[in-house]
Amino acid sequence: MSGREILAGIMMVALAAVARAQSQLVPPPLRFQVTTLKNGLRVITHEDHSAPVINLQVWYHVGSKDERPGRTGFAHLFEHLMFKGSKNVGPEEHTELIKSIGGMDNAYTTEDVTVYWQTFPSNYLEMVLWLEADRMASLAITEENFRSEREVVKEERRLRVENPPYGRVIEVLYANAFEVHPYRHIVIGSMDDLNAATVEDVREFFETYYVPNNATLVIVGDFDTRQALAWVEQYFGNIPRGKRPIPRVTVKEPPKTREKRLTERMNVPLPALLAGYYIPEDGHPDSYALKILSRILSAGQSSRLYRKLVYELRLAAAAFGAGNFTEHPNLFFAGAILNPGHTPEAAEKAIVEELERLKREPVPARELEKAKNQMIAEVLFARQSNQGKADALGRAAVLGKDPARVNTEVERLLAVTPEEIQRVARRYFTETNRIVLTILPQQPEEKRPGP
Amino acid sequence: MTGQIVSRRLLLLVMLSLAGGTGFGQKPTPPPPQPPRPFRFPEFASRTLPNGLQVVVIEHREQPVVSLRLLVRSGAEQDPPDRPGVASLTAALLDQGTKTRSAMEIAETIEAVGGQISTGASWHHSFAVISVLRPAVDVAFEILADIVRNPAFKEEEIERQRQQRLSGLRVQMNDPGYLASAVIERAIFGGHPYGHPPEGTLDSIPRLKRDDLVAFHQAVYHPNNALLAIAGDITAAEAFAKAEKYFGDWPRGEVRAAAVPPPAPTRGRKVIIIDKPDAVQTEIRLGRVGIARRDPEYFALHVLNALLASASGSRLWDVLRRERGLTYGVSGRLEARQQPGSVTISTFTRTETTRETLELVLRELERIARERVREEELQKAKSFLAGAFQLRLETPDSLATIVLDALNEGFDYAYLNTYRDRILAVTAEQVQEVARKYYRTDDLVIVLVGNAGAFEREVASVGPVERIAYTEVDLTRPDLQREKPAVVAATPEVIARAREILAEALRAVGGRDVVADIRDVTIAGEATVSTPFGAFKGEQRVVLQAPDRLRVEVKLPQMTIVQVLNGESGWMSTPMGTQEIPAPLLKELRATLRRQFFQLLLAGEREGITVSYVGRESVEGKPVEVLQYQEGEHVFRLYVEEASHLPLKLSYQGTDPFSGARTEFEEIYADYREVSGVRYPFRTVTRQAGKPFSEFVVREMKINAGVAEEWFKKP
Repeated sequence: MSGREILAGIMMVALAAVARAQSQLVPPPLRFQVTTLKNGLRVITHEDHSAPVINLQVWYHVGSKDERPGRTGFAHLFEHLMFKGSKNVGPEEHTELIKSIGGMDNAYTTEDVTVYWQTFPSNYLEMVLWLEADRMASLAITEENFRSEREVVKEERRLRVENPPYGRVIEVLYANAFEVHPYRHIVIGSMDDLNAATVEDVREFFETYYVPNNATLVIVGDFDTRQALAWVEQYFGNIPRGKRPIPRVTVKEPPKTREKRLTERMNVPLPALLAGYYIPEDGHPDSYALKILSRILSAGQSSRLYRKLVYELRLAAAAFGAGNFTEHPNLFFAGAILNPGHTPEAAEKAIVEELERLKREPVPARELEKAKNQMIAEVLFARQSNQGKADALGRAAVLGKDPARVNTEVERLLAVTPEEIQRVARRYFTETNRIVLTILPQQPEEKRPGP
Repeated sequence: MTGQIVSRRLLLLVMLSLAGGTGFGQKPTPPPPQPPRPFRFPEFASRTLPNGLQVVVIEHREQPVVSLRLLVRSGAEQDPPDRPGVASLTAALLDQGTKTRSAMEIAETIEAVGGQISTGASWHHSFAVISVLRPAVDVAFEILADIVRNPAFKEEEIERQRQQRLSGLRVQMNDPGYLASAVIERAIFGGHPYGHPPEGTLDSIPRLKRDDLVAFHQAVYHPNNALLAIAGDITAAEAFAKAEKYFGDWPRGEVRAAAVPPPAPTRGRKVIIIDKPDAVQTEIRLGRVGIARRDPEYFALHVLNALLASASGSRLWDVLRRERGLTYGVSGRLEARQQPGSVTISTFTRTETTRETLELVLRELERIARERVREEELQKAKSFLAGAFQLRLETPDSLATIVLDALNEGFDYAYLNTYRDRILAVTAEQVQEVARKYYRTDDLVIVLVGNAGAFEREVASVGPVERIAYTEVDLTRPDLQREKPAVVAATPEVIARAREILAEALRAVGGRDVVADIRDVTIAGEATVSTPFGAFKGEQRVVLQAPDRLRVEVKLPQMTIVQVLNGESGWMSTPMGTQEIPAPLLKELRATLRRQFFQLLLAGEREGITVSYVGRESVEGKPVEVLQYQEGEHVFRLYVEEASHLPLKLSYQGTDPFSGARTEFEEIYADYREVSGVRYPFRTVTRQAGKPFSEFVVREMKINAGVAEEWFKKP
């Protein structure tokens, strides 16, 4: 060892000490105000005057799990329709207005929620509230733009699910993992169901779910709260409450008593393996340890699955392990895409061995700290922008049922111990609690014959 | 009478509502904006260390996060003309290992504290950024100082970056949008430093050597040529102290950077068509040399550009998309640099509407130079730019980016603090003035990437057209045209000399008659192909039957691919099924047959092919005689060793299977062994653009053992 190497070694130790000191950092609490209008609309505000910008989001508590049978994909299709105009706003005009002032807007749909957001210069707050109120109060859907937008969504399904290699893996896994819970279909839905949707469905869905008592408005940035709330009252105050009770999914997936295995052939270049373990809902006492654990398994190049499968054994081109934390119990995935010449069996063995190691040995303190550091960093980097703060507030309020969880969740994650990780690994990573999907490339003879 | 009055009032109402007045029964319009909220650009403290490093601190205490951004005042403008990509690749290597830390150690150290790291280069700067949580700020300083000062430029890491860059470029060169934008910059600037793609090209990246990167680093990465911004949850005093601690002993150096001359103004109109016959859309670019960042007319041109071609609500948006549905998008780009950069307008349309769209854009450019813009249009464009600027001020790192960029261009705090107001102060007169100067349609470069056959004649009226095949574009060259291999004139002397060399080669491999008597050959072995996704190994079997049948079979672990050439036609079988062979692939297969080892040796006796002697060269240190083969448009070269008379190398232009671009291929023959009285190279290494591409090692070879008819018959 040369002198310089020893010096470098000492430096690494010193840096590690600095890194350790860091886990004492707890994110400063995010302050916010909650106001509820008479019609049930919940408003969450957080002022930040450091830049003349605002992020505003409307969260509707409806996602793909709320779709009725035969109408999968409808929540997402509906999200597209919200840009097709309302009583006083023309098709696409919402987005065009936001863009024309240098702002940005978009929306997304998950299994549990549909969220509309925009970031814009702060002197346009009144205009944006007016725009969002107009589409909460009214929808101007014609048979024609309904049909054309449905084609756009079908194209999105082709683009994201049907064409890309591995695009259908998640769809197949969920269809087999869940028997009764609506998580059994993916957000984009099926082609047949999209084709079956009608304008009448649109009206019914709008009247049921797009009502103030099912919505949360989040405003973060450069504004005066009193003025903002006055405008909110002016534009949203007279939108009536929904006439009927909002239906909620109550069906529960029965606990699994034995392992489920299946093999599918797909249009993929390399075989893959995906194991799904049943885990509880987000916010469940065990969810925190599972979140930390998923970082230990697969966040970055020094994570366990990447190191073992990609770097050391070189049997996988990619390896991952992460939980899908949602409003109702869901799955924790662990999987890999194989390198040529390696088998899915080998990947399964290596993955299971890593999960067994979590049960067998407590996670070393330094590795746990790294996972927590990454987690706090992710939270704090996100909170530098209004949008990141609004995301966190909306999520805590709608999915966590209480906006205050924006602060308590982080504390809970930081309190996770090595013993807790060991306990949840033992509880959930069992053979009977899993579904294993093996994906193999199609054989020539299985393809339809050539022309 | 009364009726008349009523109808006149009705008419008035209709007119009012059409004019957007406050007519009755009209849709409510959105509430107008409040006056812009008061805003001061965040202040920053600045100090220059004794070694010349300028340090800027932007305190932003809301979240316990600190971001360090180091900027070196030289970038892609310094790339050697024949080696685009040096600055960019140098920056990419910074965090891939230093004298004391491996790439993995750097990644792990940053991952352990939850930090983020990135590096890159732009036209007039190179940068490295590390963001961390407040308590890890020393880790960030330590690593940043190390990667900027002591990058190791390890060969293996250079190779890794090079491969990543090449696979990215292969994908991009297939994207007509990327190609159109890169081509117009080359066409506007020609051989000026701003003409080359800063990220490098498919031709330049393989040629960049470690020495190029080391030389660039030594020339410009000096504290007296750098700026450091520290932004976030840290006091100015502490930040300056840490800058001194970690960067204070960085020694000054001599900055060797060439001054960039102003580019020649655009004169005249020219149209460049990049022909991509399978395109269903045409990418359209119009542009010319614009202005420098420090030009007083910068703000007026910025507003004009937004008014014309910013996303929604601009003139071209209205004309092309809202009124006619010709496109989904149109955008304008003003690249104001230390010297005048480009102003460009981008859009795309269906192949059939190429001319209509192009003419509409030209018409709008002429109109905006002729007529003064309306006040409300002007307001809209200014609100758009002011808003977009404000959206960039949210996070400490994005503030640091704006501040360092401004300081690098020679601006100060007052400039940033008044930036929004200066945009808002632009008048209609100023806009018209810059429109006349910078959007004269007589001086304009137009680039169209699409199916040229469908619109070339239609657009000929727009200006003189130059057409380049999509596969022949070379962005490294100022004239964009790939260098054509010089074709040697076939005089009787060089043809005779070539025949002599081939006769000797035939003797060396076993005799002319033995070779001519070959009716079929079966060659089986192992093939290894390097792809952007890693190396693939497979079993390959090639069957040749004279005169024009060829079967190539490749077995990979999960699939088998068969390609068969049957004279004029062919078929292929893949996991997707069996089908007629597509035309481009058929062409490739016929070329493969033409370049087959025994065919090459017998070419002197064939009609329609001319073999000429070119001269002497060396291959891997061995003296060789070079033969040029010309058959119609196909030109390739064979290199025959002087001492042994055995062919050592074949070179030709071929298609990159991953990007479809034309590149140079070389096949190196080695390990000659005898089979049935004929010597054949048992190992062939193929290089593409100088990089390893594939290797084929023969395990078994049979000559005149017969072939089965079903090998060639389509199943």
